[in-house]
Amino acid sequence: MIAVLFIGCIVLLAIGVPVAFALGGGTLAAILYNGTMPLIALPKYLFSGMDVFALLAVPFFILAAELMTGGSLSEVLLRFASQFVGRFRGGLGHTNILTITFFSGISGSALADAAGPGAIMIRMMRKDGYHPEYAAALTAAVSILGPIIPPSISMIIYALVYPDINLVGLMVAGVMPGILIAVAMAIINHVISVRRNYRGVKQNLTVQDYWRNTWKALPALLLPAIILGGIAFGIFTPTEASVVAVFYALFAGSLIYRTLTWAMLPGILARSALVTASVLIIVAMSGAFAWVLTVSRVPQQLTELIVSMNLSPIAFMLAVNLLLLAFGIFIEPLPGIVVLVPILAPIAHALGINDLQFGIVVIVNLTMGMITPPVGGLLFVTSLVAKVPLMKMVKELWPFMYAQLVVLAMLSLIPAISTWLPNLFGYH
Amino acid sequence: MKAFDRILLSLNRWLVIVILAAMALMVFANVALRFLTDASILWVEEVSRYLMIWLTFLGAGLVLRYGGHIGIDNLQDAFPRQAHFIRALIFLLLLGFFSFMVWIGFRYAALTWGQTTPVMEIPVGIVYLAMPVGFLLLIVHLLLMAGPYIAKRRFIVDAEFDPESVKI
Repeated sequence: MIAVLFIGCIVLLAIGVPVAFALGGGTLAAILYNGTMPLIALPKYLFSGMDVFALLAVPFFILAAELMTGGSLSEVLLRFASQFVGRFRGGLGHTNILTITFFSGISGSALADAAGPGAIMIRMMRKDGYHPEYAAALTAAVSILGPIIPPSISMIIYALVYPDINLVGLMVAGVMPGILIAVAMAIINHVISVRRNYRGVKQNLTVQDYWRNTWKALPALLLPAIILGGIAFGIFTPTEASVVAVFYALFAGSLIYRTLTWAMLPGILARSALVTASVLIIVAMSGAFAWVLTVSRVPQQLTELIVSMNLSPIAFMLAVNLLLLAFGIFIEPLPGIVVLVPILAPIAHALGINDLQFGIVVIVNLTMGMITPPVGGLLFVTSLVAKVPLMKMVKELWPFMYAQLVVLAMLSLIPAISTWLPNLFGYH
Repeated sequence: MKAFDRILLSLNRWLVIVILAAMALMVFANVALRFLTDASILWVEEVSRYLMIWLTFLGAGLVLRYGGHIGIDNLQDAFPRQAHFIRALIFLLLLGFFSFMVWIGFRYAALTWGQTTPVMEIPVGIVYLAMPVGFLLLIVHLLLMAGPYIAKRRFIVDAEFDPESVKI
């Protein structure tokens, strides 16, 4: 039956059936093949997979990021970031990195980062004499921070399919790895800017200018603090934080920055609703898929097998990373999480790997798949905004990808990068 | 047919807009209430969850129209001449799967109609109806898009929704 499940899903996926329906179709084929399982289990587990209050954070974080972009909060963050790093060599590149890093503290997805502040930064960098391919590549590479720095839709789904992990702990665990990736991207930007003589931005800022920019950015800067601080200190649950973020963004965009109008709301809501539907339909179908896996005891048997092989945690980590990198070339992070995490996370746990560290490695690795050609979601968006052919842009991406691979190796080998901060807050 | 399609798209769009807005409003009201008075409305957690389920199934058809369900299109790109055969096959497979889901969904809703939800004590079938209704809507959208999709992989294009944006 398991063979039918996997072959069914893979064949459907390969011919181009959308992921959600390929998972559902493969599950249906497996149940029909088995013959003794009741068909009614399919709708039953499909609903139980999505009837979870914590999942409401998904639509709300999507909506919050849309409202932030509509409310021009990206521009304010950008001016704030620029006054610190703009004057250095490759200054706009550094501004881009810093702005997207801030924005990732509000948005839960990589595409929201690329489409929001990323799109604005690409246009600015073009105008300032950067090669558009480079601007697009840098933006795509930095945008992977969206789901790594909390809040994170990927992490919400991860905790849903592997309930043994603490969602708040996982979110806090993403902070240091996110900053590490941002630093790595800044180093690459510096090296390339020196080589190509991308100059800094001429700024004659007075002390008053600093104050004014910071004052203006304050409402936008407060939001990541409210979300992360609120979640980490246990003031809000992630779901509560997500809905607070929605109304804070609505308030700041319409009353403080005054760029968000009521006429924009239906469009913003419709877009968020559709993104939500496309994400949650996959989650729903994977509920039934995971049920068939569990009934046939695949995760348990695989765990026993691998534990009996006496594999060292490092060897397992390496194997998982290679598997996920290969997976990420063809598929987006979400299907990767719903299909692979219920199988891999219990094995990692049994081998003594820290749950939080493993979660971070899986999410960083799968998110990197969004910038690996040929099918990286981030590649399409950024190449479209920069108006450059995809293949030309990919050439500029290599240095960033190598740097991310180095960070990924560090995350895989050094648990403390992921676990240090959550341990401080009492999450293990 | 065109007029029917336009009305359907518009209705479907407003439906998901209203549901999402309602979810956000009621969950926010509950958080505010908890902070201000330490009490919260019990039914909010239940109703917002059910609205999310309805939103998912009612939105799935619209996403299909925009070409927003993520999938792997490499095979069609690799064989451009045979691509419309591949898409015809996908169309038939989807039609079959959707029809099955409508049937099993109605059966499940009918079977569970006697049970009620814990807080609101409404029939759970009202929640479970979301699936067959959503898949029925998916069938309607699939049939409406069949021609341009199979021939040229063409979807609805407008500035409001970028199908790439669903890749979280």
